[in-house]
Amino acid sequence: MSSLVVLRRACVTAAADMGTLYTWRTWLLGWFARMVAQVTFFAFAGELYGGAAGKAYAFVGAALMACVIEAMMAVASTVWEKLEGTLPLLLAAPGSLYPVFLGRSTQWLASGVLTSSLILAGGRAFGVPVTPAAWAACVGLIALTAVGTYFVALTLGFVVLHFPGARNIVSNVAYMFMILVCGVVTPVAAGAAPLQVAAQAFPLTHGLAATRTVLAGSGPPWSDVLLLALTLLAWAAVSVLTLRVVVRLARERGTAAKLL
Amino acid sequence: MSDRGRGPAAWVPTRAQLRHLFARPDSLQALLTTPLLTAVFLTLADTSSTGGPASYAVLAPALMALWTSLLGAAGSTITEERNNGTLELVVASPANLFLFVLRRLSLSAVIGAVALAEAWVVAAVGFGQVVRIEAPLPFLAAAVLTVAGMVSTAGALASVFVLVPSARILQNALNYPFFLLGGVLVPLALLPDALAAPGRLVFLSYGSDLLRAGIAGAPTRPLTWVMLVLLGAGALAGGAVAFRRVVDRARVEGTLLRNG
Repeated sequence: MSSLVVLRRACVTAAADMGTLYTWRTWLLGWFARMVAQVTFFAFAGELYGGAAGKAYAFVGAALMACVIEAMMAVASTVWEKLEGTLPLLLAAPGSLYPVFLGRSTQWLASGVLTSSLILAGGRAFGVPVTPAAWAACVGLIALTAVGTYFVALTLGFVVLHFPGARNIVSNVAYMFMILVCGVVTPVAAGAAPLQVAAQAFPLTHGLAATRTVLAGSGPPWSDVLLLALTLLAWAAVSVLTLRVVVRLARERGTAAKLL
Repeated sequence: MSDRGRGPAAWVPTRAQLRHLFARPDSLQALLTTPLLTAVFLTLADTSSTGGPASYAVLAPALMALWTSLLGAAGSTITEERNNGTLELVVASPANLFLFVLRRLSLSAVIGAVALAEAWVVAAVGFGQVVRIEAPLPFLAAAVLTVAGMVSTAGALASVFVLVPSARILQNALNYPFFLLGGVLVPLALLPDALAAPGRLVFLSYGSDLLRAGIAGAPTRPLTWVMLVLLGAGALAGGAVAFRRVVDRARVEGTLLRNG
């Protein structure tokens, strides 16, 4: 079976998972409303310490953070294959395992891009006027940031396959670290030097920088877009290599079904 | 899990209960993300152009960790008893199920205290900000009443989580809206009317104001204390009624062991 067919079927699994988790009503009231509250919380935190400029800065960061938080849920949904007992079967099946994991968590990408895009469209209420053209460009940047973060989440998810109980802790600590260092509510330069260096590794840092440039009406942020693309591809490669190592270890040690 | 029977001693946690508490994923998650979140708020305070207080940045993560931990515990307390096969025994016993749940949830107050200590250490060591509590007795009184209100509210919500199959969505939906309307970081007085008005119905907004006043040694209004006690007591009464209704219905329909 070709990898593309596997990928397509894994995406169908992802859509089915989403359908069991949410209806449109529970997505709007249970997820989207919570993200609006979170963005509002951080925006007013920015205003408390930085006035109107701080509010606008934190709003943009928190709006983009919505797609990052959802993309990071791929850590947990990657581990679901182990918890549901399908991992040994996948290992025994012919063909590469990567397309399965690449596709089975894509529901978070769709939901995350939609959430961030809709929230960003309401920027005027937080002092961030967004023209239709700027919004369209930002949706593209949101999508790239979400995909780049998705590869970060897949990498962490593959590592956490060995410690399934830690899946939610790992994803939450990871995205909280990104809030701290990636320029979400305070500039990257406000952090200590080692944190500024660490920030460069995350797609979010460059996606945010590009988004802020677009919203400020400045010229196309090609250097930030290039760095965003490079970090996306780098994490894609890292995720492929990580899965190869994890699969080899699981086969050698027979731990594919071991949950503890 | 050992029980110390009735009376005040029943509310003092045993070593086994504390071990179990700290092993819970949601407790661990709260304790691991608190230093990061504190660093986010303190970086905001460090770069502040408005002179926003650093003490707010230390108090908020503790309250957020406590509420997140309580929500997690409220969602899983009944489920754990059900999975252990002990729920029917507890319901059949003379013990009041709501009190049983409240005692389990009150353990999470320990998480709040540890989170506050973590936030204080991050501020002192990482940012050179030593937060002093200028009015310790009012601060302690406000802390006890706020924690009691949180435990009561989480206990009331536990009855809803028993009924609803998608409890996880509800748990996610009830964090940031609560933090925002509860004024945990930004006092309601600094929020627009559209948010401040509904916030005045949330007991936490009064608790947050009193805790901040205790840290600053600022005077408080008697009405604030009255509202905190009234709304907390309301949650307690509402939770007791809700639990009675849920358990009676489950007894009649024979659905005590059914998830949702």
